[in-house]
Amino acid sequence: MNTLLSNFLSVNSIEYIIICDNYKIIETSSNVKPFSDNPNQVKEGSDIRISFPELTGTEEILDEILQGEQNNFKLKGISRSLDNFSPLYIDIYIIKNQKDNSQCQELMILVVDSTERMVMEQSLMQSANQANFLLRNLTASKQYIEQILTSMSDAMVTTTPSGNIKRINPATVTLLEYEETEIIGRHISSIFKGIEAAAFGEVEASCQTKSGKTIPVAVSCSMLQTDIEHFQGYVYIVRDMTERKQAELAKQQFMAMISHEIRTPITSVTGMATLLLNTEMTTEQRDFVETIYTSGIALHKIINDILDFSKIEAGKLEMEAQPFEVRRCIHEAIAILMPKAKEKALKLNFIDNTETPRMVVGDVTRVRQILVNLISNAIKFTSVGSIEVYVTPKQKTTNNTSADDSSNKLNTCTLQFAVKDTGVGIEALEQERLFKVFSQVNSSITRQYGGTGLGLAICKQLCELMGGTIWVESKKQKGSTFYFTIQVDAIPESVASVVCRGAEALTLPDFNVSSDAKIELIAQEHPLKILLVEDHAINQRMIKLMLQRMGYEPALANNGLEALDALRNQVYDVVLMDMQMPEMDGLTAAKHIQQEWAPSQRPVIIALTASTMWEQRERCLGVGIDDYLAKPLRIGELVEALKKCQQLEKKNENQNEFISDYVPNYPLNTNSSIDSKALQEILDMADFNSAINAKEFLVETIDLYLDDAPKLLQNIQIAHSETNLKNLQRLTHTLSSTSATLGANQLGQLCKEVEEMVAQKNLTAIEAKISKIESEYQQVQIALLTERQKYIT
Amino acid sequence: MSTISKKICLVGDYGVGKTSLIRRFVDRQFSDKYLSTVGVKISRKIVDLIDVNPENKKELQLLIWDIEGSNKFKAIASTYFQGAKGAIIVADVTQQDTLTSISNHIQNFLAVNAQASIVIALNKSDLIETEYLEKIRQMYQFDNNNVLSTYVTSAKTGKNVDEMFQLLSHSLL
Repeated sequence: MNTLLSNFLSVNSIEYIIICDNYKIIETSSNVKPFSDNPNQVKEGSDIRISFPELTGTEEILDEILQGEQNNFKLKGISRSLDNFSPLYIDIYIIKNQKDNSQCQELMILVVDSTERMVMEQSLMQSANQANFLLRNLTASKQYIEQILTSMSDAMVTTTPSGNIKRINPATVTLLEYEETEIIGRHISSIFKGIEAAAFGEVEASCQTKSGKTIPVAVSCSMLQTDIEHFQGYVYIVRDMTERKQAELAKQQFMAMISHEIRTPITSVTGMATLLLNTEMTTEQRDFVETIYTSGIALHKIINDILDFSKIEAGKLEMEAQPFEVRRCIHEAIAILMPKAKEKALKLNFIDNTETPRMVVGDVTRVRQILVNLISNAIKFTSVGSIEVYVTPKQKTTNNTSADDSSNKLNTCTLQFAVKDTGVGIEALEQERLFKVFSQVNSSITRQYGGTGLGLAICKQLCELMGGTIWVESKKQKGSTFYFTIQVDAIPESVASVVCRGAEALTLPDFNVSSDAKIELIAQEHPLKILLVEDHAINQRMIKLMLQRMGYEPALANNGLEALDALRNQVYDVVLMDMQMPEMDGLTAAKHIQQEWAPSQRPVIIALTASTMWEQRERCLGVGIDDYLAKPLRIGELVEALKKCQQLEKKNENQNEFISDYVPNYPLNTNSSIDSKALQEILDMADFNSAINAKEFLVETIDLYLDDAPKLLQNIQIAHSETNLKNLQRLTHTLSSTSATLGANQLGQLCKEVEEMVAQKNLTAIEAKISKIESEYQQVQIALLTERQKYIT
Repeated sequence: MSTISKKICLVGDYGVGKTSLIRRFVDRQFSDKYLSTVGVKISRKIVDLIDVNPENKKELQLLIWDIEGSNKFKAIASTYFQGAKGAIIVADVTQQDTLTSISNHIQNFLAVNAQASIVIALNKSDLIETEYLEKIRQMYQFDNNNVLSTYVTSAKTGKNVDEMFQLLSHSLL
């Protein structure tokens, strides 16, 4: 190569190799070797394809260049890097080396260091490709999430941190009937109610659809936390619970029906067996009947246990929080089991403790249930000696913040009960298994003593539901002591003593129907035309009897509509108006009367109502109701109210002063389910009426009640399971008044409590209360059947 | 025994695993780290071509051209294909667009080397559940005499890598 060209190339950092047409190296520049793949082979006479392997396969092109058919050939960006840390790239250009005197045709291969350019290119490509990867992954992730959201059957709503809806999925559109554009930006609380606690786990809530439907939903919520503010907020997962609720409802209805259907025949069996036992029988027959009776009772207990247990397991058992007297609760449990203890000649005593608060707030039924279970077990496993029941307050803690008002505040405390026996005792190893389900200590016990093995497991769960625990201390052949604790709020003594005195004093002066000779003269002294508006047959029958006893002959109407018709046809002085009736209720009827008749011409309206309405009397005065009587009516109250009617000069009378002073009352604390005085009262009233056979009248009334009450109970269960509050209130009202009429005061009281709870929309412990009503009815049924037997002539 | 050198190219979109397949075949190594190839890197590998007759045993020196992948900004320079006797067209079995590009790559390569042999590598098969692989392989069969076979491969596990290079090497002679 001539010097000029050689220098030119050198100045421009271009190395060169000249090869012959047989690919042998003829000449090289001095610094070309580092750019070779095989530097040792960069020498004269060596094949260029060994040191520059990229020329392998280019022979045809090289020939074409030599022949002048192609001007040049270039290969750019050939990597010579040995590793990633020392990059080396070259570009190769091949041209014909024009040389006239040469013996062979020559090619010049120019080698240029392109490392700088290629490293920059590599950096650029690396970034661009990685960005493309990210974009591709991002797009795929977005599609992935979109598809998940679209395919979700649950609704999903995302909100901003302040709760404005930002995004919804198609299931939300289906659930709420809103298009996405209609709902974006609205606050979550405008659509969903009751979701405040959703962040702490799934909550039951409701949502309002575009068409106004309210749908029950289960909602869970999570916070969305990302580095970008735009992607922060909350995500709500919403499940439509309509079907599940319907299924639960069906299950509840089924359980209610089954419970009722099983208990009713068993009660009949035990009730009839009781009646049969009061008749004359041979010893053998008596044995048979006693077996029927005890089996029935045992079956009843087992069914109650199973129903209780399934309720606890399903988390459906609601604990009541009502004030009750601790000592009375223990005495009641002891009273129930005293006959059994006496049968075995065992002493059964309550060892009192003065530290124990008089009244506490808790679930008296469940405490009594545990005590009955433990005492019953103690009697079962003790043949000689005694059973003692103790109660001790433990860990008294006060909620008071100020000493000044301490006397009127609740104190939280733990009550520890103990049932101590001198029975067979339990081995230490066996004690651990005691409180597990179906785990009587061993199967021979089941054979010897009976029982399901559920009793102590239920006790354990009940204790835990009441914030306590249960355990046993026992020595074989020495006896056992079962302990359990519950958390309660103790009512301060100052308040408790007033409550207790009040309850004892709360007994109305009543007429002695049989002895008060003046009662039949009421109608003569106070002549009145009376319209009795009452939908329920027993109430109608009883009030009519009372009025007849006074010498009145009332006209009857079954509801508000019939009452209005009757008033339009005839003038009445007094309307005795039941408040809760189908078709038209008493309040509505009273409003119509007030609108239709002038004050001087309209009758005196005496509302017959449950005490739940008592608080509302001020409001009701505005609709023309003059007086109130609480059901069940006592004849004395009715007499007083009618006397006032006679005296009434409505225009001048201060209506507030006219209101009866009577406070509704149910005799409390009777041990029997039936107050036989109430039945005697009916008998006395009926006896007065020569047109009827008093005993037949009473038996018919009992039959009417026993026929009607189970239907009412079933309807109460259904109304409860359907959350039909209006029906629930009406039905419990009816059962309350009819039960109390027949002396089933405890049942009447329970019904009244449910009615009050419904009125106050306080539904928390209503299920437990209805369950109590059912149980109490069983007792009432037996008692009434027994009473009925006395009056059959 | 004679040694013959033949040039083959690995062609495909960026990021499909061309460099990883070569590294697995030549160095028996694999790295998850992505390093974009620019220009071309040539690797050598001697392949023993096994014949039924031991006397016919031959060695083939493969000059394996790892050519930069194409992307939407840059096509592959056809000069890199010049003189190649075979090619492995590589696609990423998890990326549909790289599979779609296979036909174009075949066409571009054969435009320069009409007689060359081609093997298709559906790479990254380790990322796909086994039961779907054969179905995918069947989908990417090409009705072209130059295309010898389609393999599902994994540079990560080595699946079908040697087999694919062996098949191509045999066809070069």
